[in-house]
Order: sequence, then C-alpha cells, then structure tokens
Amino acid sequence: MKILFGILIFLILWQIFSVILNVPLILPSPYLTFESLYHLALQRETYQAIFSTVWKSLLVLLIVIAIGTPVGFLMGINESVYQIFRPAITVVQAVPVISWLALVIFVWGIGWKGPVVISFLSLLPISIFTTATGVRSTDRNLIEMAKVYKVSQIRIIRTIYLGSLVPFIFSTVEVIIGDVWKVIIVSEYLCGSDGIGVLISWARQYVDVPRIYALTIIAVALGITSERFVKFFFRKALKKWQIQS
Amino acid sequence: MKKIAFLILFSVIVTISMAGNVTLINPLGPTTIPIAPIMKGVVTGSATINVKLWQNTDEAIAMIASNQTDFAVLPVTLGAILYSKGIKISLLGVYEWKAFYLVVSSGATFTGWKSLVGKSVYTPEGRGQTVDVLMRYMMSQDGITPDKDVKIYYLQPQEIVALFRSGKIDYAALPEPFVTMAIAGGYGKIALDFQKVWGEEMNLPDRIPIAGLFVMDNFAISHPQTVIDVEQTFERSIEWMNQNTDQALEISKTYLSIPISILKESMKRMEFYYVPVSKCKSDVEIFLSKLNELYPQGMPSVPGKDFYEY
Repeated sequence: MKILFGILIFLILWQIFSVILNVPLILPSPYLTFESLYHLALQRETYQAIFSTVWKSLLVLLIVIAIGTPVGFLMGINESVYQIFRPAITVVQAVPVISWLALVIFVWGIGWKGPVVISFLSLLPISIFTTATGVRSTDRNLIEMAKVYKVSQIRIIRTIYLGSLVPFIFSTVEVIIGDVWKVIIVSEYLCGSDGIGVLISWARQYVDVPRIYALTIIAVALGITSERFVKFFFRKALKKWQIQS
Repeated sequence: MKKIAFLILFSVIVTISMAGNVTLINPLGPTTIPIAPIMKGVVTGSATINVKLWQNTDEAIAMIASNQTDFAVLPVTLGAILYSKGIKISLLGVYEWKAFYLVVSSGATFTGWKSLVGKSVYTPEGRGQTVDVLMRYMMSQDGITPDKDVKIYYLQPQEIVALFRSGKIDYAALPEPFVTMAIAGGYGKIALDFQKVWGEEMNLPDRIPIAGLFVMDNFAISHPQTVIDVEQTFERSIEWMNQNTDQALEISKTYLSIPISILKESMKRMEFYYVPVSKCKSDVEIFLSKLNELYPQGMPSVPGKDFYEY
C-alpha cells in the first residue's frame, strides 16, 4: 500500500514538473508516456526485445558469478594473489566502455556477444572485489581457533572459507542485479542488434521521446522486479542454509 | 551628471547592437566549413550572427525546444520531425546536397544490390536515418528484402571506419567525411553514389536535400528583415567557401579535429550551395513523402505548407 502511495507521489511530481517545463520534446507528461507504453505493449517486437535483454542479463550474471567468485576467493585468501590481480582488475573497472568499443566489436562483432562481453567486463570487478573483501573479512577468530587446534589448512579452507562462500555469491548477486540491466541496455545501445537498448537507440533517432521514456519504464520495472525477487528468494535460501550448517 | 549621460549613451548603444544580434546553431563537422566564414568574420551582414556549434541531436533539440536560438542549421529530416512534434520552425533553404556513399573494402566487390545477398552492410547510428532509408528503398526496388537477404547493422560511424579499415567490415553506407576516412590510403573504394541513384529513380537532379537553414517562427514573424539579411549572409558564406576552399578549410581548422587532408578530399564528394525553399520545395516534398512512405515510424507525417513559410 505504501509503495503504491510512493508511486503516486512520483507520478504527481513528474506531472507537475512536465507542466512547469512545458516542453514535451524534452520531458513528456506521464500520460503521453503511458500512452506510448500501451502502444509498445501491443507490438510483438517489444516482447522480443525484452526477452533478448533478459536472457543476455541472466547470461552475464551467470558468467560473472562463475568467474568472479573463484577469482575473488583466491584473492581473498592469498595476499600475493590479491596484489598481483588487483591492478589489472582496477584498470578494467576504470576504463570507460567507449574506449574499447571498437576492440570488442572487432573481436565479437555486432549481435549478442558484444553487449554480453562489455557487461561482463563492467561487472566482473565488482563481483571479484565483493568476494575478495568478504573472504578477507571472514571471522579471524574462527581461523585463529582452527589454527590453535592444529586444523589443517585444507580443512580451514574447506569448512570455514568455502562455508562462507554462499553468502558471498548471494551478496554479489544482490549488488550487481540492479546494475546488470543498465549495463546491458547501454551496451545494446552501443553495439547490439536487438534488445531494449536497440529500441531506445531507434526511438532516439526519430526523436520519439515518449517512446524513450516508455522503454525506460520497462527497464526500470525489470530492474525493480529482479531485485525484489532476488532479495526475497535469497533471504529464504540464506535462512535455510544457516540452519543447515 | 556626466556619468549619468554616459550611462544612458552606453545603454542605448548596447540596445542597438543587441537588436541586430541573432543566434544560429550549426552542426559540428564538415558542415562547420560553410559557416566558418561567418564565425571568423570573413563574411558579415548587418545582423551579427552568433554561431553555436552542436555535437549531437539532443543538444540541438534542447536549444530549439527551449527557444535559445533564432536560426538553426539542421538535417532536413530532423527539422521535419521537430515540426511534426509541434515545434514552430520553418525551412528557409537547403544547402547540403551530397554526402552519402556506399563504400566497399578493397577485397570485396559490388555489382548492384543483388550482389550483397547473404552479406552485411553497416550504417551509422540507427534505423530510420537518411542513408538507411535510402538504402532500404533501393534494395527493395531491386527485389532484395532488407534484413532478410542483406543484414543491416547499426554502429557509430567512428566505429564503422575503424572496423572497415581493419578488414572486419566489407560494406558500409556512410556520409562524408566518414567515406573518406574509411577508404583513404587504399582500404576501399566508392561503389555507389546515393545522390545519383536517387535522382535517377525520382527523375530529379542527382542531389538529396540533406541539410538546410531553419528559422524559429516566432523570431521570423517579429524580425522579417533580419531573416532576409541572415539568409543572404548565410548564402554568401557558402559562396565564399566554394570559391576559397583552401582558406575556408584553414579557418575551420580551429573547430574540427578531422585532419585537413581528409576534409579536403571529402569536400570533393560533398556539395554545398544555397537554394531558397521557393526554388527547391518540390525536392524537399518528394524526399520527405518518400521517407514517410518507406518508414512511417521515422517520419510520422509529411509537413504541411507551414513548414515552408512562416
């Protein structure tokens, strides 16, 4: 109920602002935008675009976790590995997408691969650093205690570190789920052949501003839904996992 | 007393000079060269033209929508789209007539659109821009289904140039100066002149109304004399550029990051001359109605007569 109230306030503010500005070409009113959204809802290509963006995002999420977690884990338990990898990852994190756009297209072409690679590289550092930081902050007391009782290094890693891996994966997903849509859509815009980003690019080409905003609403809805879903699902899963261990 | 008299005199001078001060927005790129004589004060009129260069369409739209400019140099298609969205703007004349070419890499061949079946063509920005629509039209005239028989990919022109030169792209439909940037140094050749094919298809001279000078209606109604003056100055600036190309390139250098040699080469394939709308209305009308017919999402309606007069 409170959420609906919040949305209502947002829509009223939007309406007021668009009336004050009175330039529909820059900021269309909510009415115009929802009208455009309605038209989008009737078109088949909209659903194809949503589907394309969704599966690309899921794929990116999967690869980022599959590669980021082990690398971050190694960096977390070993200081030298951390120091060796850190500069390269920091560089990847800092380089703006447009700087190596041509390189990505040269190697992977236009289509689904380009956007996936760009999004993967943009999100990988976050995943690695989240995991590494998590591992580094693993309960030192537990490790000290294990050492006092002469528990072997392998067992420490297996039971204490790997035991805390699940929460790291969860927190990584929680951190990047909100970003993955934005990154995918921007990279689709830059070098994609289908998806919401491509539709935004075309709408921009012919100055159909309500359509741009309507597509943005779709993107926001995807972002919020997936974030809610992940939070809800993980909270349950985490509880179960904690009870088990 | 003296001070007050001076202040009054000063404000009178400022007001007079303000009245003859107009703002014109112009795209950054090769289209800066025809306007450079005005910017550098080589060509002047009785009104002082304050030129602002815009880099992307959003900038131009924002300035027009917020009434920050009196005149605008725009692609004719963009002007028509803005007009259809309720912006009170009128076309005064067209001045850019040639810019679009199909380039083919040195390893590939082109013998009509049919020879592209199963291949891909790259073109800038996105669906619905001028050369994209022209290409789709020409393909379907030759019995080719765009997207199905020939793949069309959209990318920033800078990226297309880089990939063309590295051998990744064989076919690209581009505007100048990207045509020259793509093929300079023997990396490819021009396979098709879109202006020529368009002219043949439409039974018109081989030219396309690409970009023109627009005026905001509210300004034009209150300053009809200034509009005539600016139009004349604009025309003289283009004439000066055509007669003194080297010098025009030299004075444009400060605004452009493209090497002069590339610009000089690309100027050979571009044509700039001012034609007032009274003498080219049918060119524009045919062009816009064809775009509307071929791609109604991009050109939702053909502008009415208010588009050509204020």
